[in-house]
Amino acid sequence: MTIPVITGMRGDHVLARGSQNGRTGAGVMIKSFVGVEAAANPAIFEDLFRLRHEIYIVRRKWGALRAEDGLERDSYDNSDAVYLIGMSGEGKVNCGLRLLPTTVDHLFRDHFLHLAPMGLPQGDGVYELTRFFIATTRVAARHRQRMIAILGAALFEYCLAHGIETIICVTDAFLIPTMQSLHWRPRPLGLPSKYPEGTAVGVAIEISEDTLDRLRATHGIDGAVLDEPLDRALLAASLPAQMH
Amino acid sequence: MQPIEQKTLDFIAEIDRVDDSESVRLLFQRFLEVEIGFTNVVCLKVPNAAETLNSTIYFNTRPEAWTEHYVEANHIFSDPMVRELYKTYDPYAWSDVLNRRNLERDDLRIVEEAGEFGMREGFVVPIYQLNGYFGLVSAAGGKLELTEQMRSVLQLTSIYVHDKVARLHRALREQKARLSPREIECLKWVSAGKSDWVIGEILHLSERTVNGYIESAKRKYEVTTRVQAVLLAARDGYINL
Repeated sequence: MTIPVITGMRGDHVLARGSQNGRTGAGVMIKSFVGVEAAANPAIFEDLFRLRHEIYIVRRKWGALRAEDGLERDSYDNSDAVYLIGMSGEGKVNCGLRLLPTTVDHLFRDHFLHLAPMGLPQGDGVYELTRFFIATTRVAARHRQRMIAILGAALFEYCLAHGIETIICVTDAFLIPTMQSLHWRPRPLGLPSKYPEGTAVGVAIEISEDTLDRLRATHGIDGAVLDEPLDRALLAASLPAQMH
Repeated sequence: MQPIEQKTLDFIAEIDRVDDSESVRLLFQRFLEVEIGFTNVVCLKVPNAAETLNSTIYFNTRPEAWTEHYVEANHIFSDPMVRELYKTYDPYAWSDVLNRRNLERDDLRIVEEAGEFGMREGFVVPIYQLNGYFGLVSAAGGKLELTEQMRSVLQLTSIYVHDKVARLHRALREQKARLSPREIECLKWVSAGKSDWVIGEILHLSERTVNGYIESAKRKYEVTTRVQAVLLAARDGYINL
């Protein structure tokens, strides 16, 4: 691993580090950002929100998210959010996801509680996953599956580094097999519920090294795909989970 | 929460804990009968060009006579339920397809014949995993009304049952392709272009015995030719080409 240097607490404006080598192929590096870093990385975040617009509003036709300015953002794109963003060598976003702690407002609890009638996992070790996407307009078809696996691996690397034990997620039923291909073992929290654009279902995913190992083995990922700012990575490793 | 929701989640949790396909099948059959009213189900991977349907069916509890007839009549090429698979990624009921289409004569015939075997309604769940994997679960039975909730139940349970049996099947295949030293030796000489008789001379075995080892290797790999067995053995590192 890299030599640790602490330069600041989470919440400071810290720029993402330069890339590690693209061992994983497909020219993808996954970087993590916290919400407050958006202002310091305007080009990346505008690119991200523009892509999300293309995918969720134009292609998936999620009418509820309609936006005037061609950018898809909601109230959960705030300082508590964590973003894992994949970029090409030229700095163009080609995949991403958003995480929110369940100790603050999040989508599942605020709008989809009916998808978890037995109760929703919540707490310091539980984060919500939303907006997991691959930019199909920018990524050649032959690279997409691998990119899904890489982003999925990045998610697990991040969670393991930060003491996140469980991920909750509202997803489309047809995507559960994809999660299963990644060895995620999503546990359904309720029956699927039909909405105009698809079928929504809530799932919980337990984080483990074993899952990451299997994911890497099946999808031919040699090592780490997540590039975290050194200080944040070290901080994550040294603080107890509660402080995240 | 409604009882069916709890039962569905419990069923999925139970499936997760089971470790053989037979048990998964039995549990699913019972669940379908009790909670939905369906009497049979087929669960399979849709074969790619290199595979035969026989080797990719995980389980099939349709009436045997129906399956035989279906295969003999090549219904797979004219079954409207199969054609629907090319049009949508979403699950669908037989009645969805039948109500919507102008049925051709061939279609009507299949529908009638299925009815004679007690099948008048069914629900098909296509399953797409990464790496091009395409599978499906198709449950069927006598005429019944499928509510939105029943469809949700069918979709969710089908996804988890399918994943479980596919994993068990894969694990079994990985276990199965364990060749014996004799099988390996014989395949090595096959790859060198030797006939069974010559191999027998080399290894001091009868031609028939050699043939037996090669057939055994083919069976373990679930292939139909010795060339395929040789290629797979090379892939698995048993022999060098």
